[in-house]
Amino acid sequence: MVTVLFFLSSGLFLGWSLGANDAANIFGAAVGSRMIKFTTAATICGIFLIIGAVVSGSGASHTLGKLGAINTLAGAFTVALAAALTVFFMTKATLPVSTSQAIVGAIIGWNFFSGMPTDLSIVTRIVMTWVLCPALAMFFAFIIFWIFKLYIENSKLHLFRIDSYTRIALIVVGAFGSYSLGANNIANVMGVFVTSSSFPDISIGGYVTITSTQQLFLLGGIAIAVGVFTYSKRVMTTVGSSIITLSPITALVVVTSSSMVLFLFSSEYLYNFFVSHGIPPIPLVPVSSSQAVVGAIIGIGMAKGARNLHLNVIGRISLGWVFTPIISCIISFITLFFMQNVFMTVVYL
Amino acid sequence: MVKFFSRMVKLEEEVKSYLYHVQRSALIFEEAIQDYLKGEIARFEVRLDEIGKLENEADRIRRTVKHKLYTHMLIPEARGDVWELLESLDKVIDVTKKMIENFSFEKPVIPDFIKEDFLNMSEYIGKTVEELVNAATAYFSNMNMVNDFSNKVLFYENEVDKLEDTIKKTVFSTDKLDTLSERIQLRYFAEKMALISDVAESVCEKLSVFVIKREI
Repeated sequence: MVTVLFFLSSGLFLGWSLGANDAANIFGAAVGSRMIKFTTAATICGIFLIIGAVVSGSGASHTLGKLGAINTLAGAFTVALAAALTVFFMTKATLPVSTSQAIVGAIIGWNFFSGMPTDLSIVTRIVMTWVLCPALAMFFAFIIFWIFKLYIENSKLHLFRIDSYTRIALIVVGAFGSYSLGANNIANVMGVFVTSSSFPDISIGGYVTITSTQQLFLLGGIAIAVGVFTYSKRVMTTVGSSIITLSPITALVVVTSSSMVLFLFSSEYLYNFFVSHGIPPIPLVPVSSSQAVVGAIIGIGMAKGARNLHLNVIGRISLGWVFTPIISCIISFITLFFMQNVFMTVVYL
Repeated sequence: MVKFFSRMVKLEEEVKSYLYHVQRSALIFEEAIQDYLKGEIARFEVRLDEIGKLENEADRIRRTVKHKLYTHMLIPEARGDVWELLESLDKVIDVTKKMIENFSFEKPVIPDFIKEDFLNMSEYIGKTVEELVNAATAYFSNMNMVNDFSNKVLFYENEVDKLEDTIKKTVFSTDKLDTLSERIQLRYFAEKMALISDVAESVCEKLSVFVIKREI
């Protein structure tokens, strides 16, 4: 058990850092603008992140499994560690980075190291979603912004009522966003461990069975929630009050649209619904919530009639798409080499 | 949550009540000037008493609203503007009250040939404040209309300025007034009355900025 927990530690660390950073994408503006107290936001975020991870986390991690089924715990540990190191170094170097992209690069690094083939069609599908994610968020934000604007302008709601409704909506949408974040991003945290770790199923009164994967995701979800409670306050306050000044209503648009995108990329129900109706399904892939937020903010800018799109922002994101997986892949390869040849651990079977 | 909503509804009512007090101050002013010009001094003094009470009540409501806005962390984004709006509107009540007090203390003699101008001026001041209150109400619940009401405020304020100029020209060109002090006193009253609409105009200018800030 201790060995398992030790090997899971890199994934749990990734989860902690995800909670510390990405919770701000969901509740940052609401907390920063003092519409919601941090403790309320953190509690809702933590609970719904865990539910999302346990209930709907398998879709996106299944796709990562298809990319590379890491078959030893030590290998999974190293891959998650490589992703974490990539995120750490790129953040230090102030380069745009996403855990989702880092983990994909690290898995490909494991494929190279172990000599397993990398399914290029899966890689293409994943890369397409990285582009699609901010683009969809932009589109949703554009539409939702106009719906909100027209509604508020024509409903003649009192300022105080708009404020009350916005607070409630921020909580509801925040819960949905947290659920979607948990469902989508748990694959980054625990996806690589799915094949290699096996816990015995736990049955609760014979009615509910918690599978090995769900237990793994529960652990990851708890790690994310701990990250939210212990370290996200500063990030939330910074996001809400200094980097991007969003009004509570525009914040609501951003959170709604980015949550919808995260949900689309993680909902197996929607995936199956699309397939059964002959509609091309949206692949279930972990995507970057930060990039969804940036896309949504650009969408709002466009809805407001901004003529000068900040191409440098889009350029920086694109750089992240290219550099993050490459750097992560290299780090993964090197760390796997060290684990195998210095620490004499079996990193693949 | 229910408590939160009832708090919001109560606050809405208080703001509404405050705006009603601002509007009432202008109506009392209009009536007071009419009474004064008709020589109904006893009724005029009643108006003076009324506006004193109204000002106290308006101050109480304003302080309550401020207290609630800040202690209950309501409308964090706009509360500074709402607070400034209420403060600015308070100046309208203050100036109006002071004007009625000045009539009561100094008891200026308004000659018949400019009584009509003073009457018209008080009516336009009343309309200026009425449209200002409409604009402020629209800021809370129908922002698209704020500019329309503000334009009316500017129109009536302009009319008040014209009447102020007419009174000043008349009092300094007529030979029906014997002393310079009479002329200066009448000019002073015309200027001070016009100050009410000037204050209303400056509140409107602030409102237009608040509206831009509230646009999503």
